[in-house]
Amino acid sequence: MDNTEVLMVLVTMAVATFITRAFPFVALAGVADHPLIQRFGRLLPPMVMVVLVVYGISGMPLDQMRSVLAVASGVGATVIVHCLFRHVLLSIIVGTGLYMTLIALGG
Amino acid sequence: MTAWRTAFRASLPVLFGYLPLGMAFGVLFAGLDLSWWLAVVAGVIVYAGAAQFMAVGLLAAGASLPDVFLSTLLMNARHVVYGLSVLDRYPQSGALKWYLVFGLTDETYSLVTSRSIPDPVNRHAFYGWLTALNQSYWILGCGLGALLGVTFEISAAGLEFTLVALFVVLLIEQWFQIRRIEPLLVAVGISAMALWIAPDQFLILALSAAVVLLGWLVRKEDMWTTPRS
Repeated sequence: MDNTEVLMVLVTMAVATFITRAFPFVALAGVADHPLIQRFGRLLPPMVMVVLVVYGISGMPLDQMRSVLAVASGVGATVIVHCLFRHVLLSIIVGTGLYMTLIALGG
Repeated sequence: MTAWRTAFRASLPVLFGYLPLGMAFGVLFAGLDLSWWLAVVAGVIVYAGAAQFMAVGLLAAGASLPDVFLSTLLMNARHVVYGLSVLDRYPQSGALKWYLVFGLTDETYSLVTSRSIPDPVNRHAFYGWLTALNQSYWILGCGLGALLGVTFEISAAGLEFTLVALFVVLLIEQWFQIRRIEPLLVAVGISAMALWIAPDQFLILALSAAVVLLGWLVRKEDMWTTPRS
């Protein structure tokens, strides 16, 4: 992926992010403190994350039992470490480290 | 005390939060073999923690621009709620207003809404400095992390798992915010359906379904909000 493509992704995200932040200032001033809207804004992000977890996992090689187990172990380790320490980078390093180790041992 | 000093003091906790978090983003970003300065650009123009972490995953997966747009929109949907509660605090017009709107992150929002400003004359200056200081910590973190990641280049089989781990971590963070299993179960169901129906259009299909279904479900009386007895 070259720099121009990455820049286009970043600009797209910048626009989308600004839209969400500016929206209430431009429109909705009277309506959107409605409890339904607030509940919606609170519950949608975790649902998006579930979808993204599935998206990520479905992109991994899962053709053999061994690779499925490696993914499951990596996810499990990430969950445990993150619940214990709540340190983003640490959780990712431990989870990925375990996954890479299992893949290396298996292959 | 001047607006700058008040803002600097108020922003210190954010410094200790944003610097390591921004660096974590930078390191992950550099792991994609991208130029380090693009991480700085992300901090300058996007300036959104969770969405930028998501961007690493989306870039790694080669997601399309419409997918990126929709995911970011939904990821940051909570900002709509933030904006509403600071409508009357922020200036009504001008460049400062739009910069404050742009920089309305979770942390800035919590500082703006939790602190009472004694001197009303300085209030807008205080918000301006606070937002700018917070963003500067974030940009600094993104840049440092990316430089670090580029310097100590790591490459080995299975590194692409960072994307899965990242999403798992963000999901756990979301879980700590809502502590309700039902929306997650619905999302799992939606994901399974979308994978089964059209794996090539998975993201757009699953995300749209999540919006529609949640829009319908939140109308249900007190569903998912009142604690179970």
